[in-house]
Amino acid sequence: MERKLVLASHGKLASGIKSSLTLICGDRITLETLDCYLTEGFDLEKEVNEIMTRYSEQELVVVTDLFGGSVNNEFLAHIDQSNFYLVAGMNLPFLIELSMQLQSAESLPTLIETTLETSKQTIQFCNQLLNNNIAEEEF
Amino acid sequence: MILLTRVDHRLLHGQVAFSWTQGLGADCILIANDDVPTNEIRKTTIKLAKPQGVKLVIKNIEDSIAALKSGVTDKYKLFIVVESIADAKKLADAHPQIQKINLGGIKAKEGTRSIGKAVNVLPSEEDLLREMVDKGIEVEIRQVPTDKKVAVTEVL
Repeated sequence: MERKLVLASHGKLASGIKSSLTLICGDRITLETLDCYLTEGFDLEKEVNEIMTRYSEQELVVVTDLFGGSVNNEFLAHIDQSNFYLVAGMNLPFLIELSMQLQSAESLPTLIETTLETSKQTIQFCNQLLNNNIAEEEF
Repeated sequence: MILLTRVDHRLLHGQVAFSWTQGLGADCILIANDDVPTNEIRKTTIKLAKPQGVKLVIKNIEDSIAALKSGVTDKYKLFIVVESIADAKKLADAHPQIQKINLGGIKAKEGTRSIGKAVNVLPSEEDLLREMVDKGIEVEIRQVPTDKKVAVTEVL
């Protein structure tokens, strides 16, 4: 089954993070973005329904910017759709790892779980980190 | 097994750390450089850029060659990163198993010419590249693994 990745955000975070992602991982990574509320008549329910219908026959991962936000909540209403996975808390390290392995990973839920774990460790307070000595590694 | 040796003046940074390590399926990164082992700030920065689940070893060129020759690196899927074409050449001369060299980023300076995206070389470096190509080493220009390879022979 084909896999699709959609990023959705309040404002331009989704398209902005796509620009960063493409710079780092190259432009062969295919994903769709949904920047919400940028126009007066923006209809979130309609946009989300369209995405869910379009990809109903595929494995779909949607990554939103904010847990508890309206964008995430709108997708949450579809959580029972089969082969649909929703992640909140969009960040670049998570998307780099996810998009690189999206097509090759055996199981999508497992990939999402492990990628979330590793990407959480990349959120760091650097000042404190520099005070800790990082061990040298050898072969 | 040595998967690839990359020349990048930034050594280990976001692009290299994530896309190359994953794209290659490497489990060990060797930073071969004469400055980093004794430059604490540079060393710390590189250690912080290390992707999860990958071993990172930092050695000067001489020690890198010794390690490669000793066979301790054989069990790894190794990705080597060097700063300059000259360093890549030293490794390749000393260790013929280095068969693939990727040019990722070499800053422009006086006397260089651009031979590809973010790759600028001096005439003396072009000679080194030719020598490596003549020895049968695949030398290619690519920013990220999914870019199309440009053989250096097309631009020399």
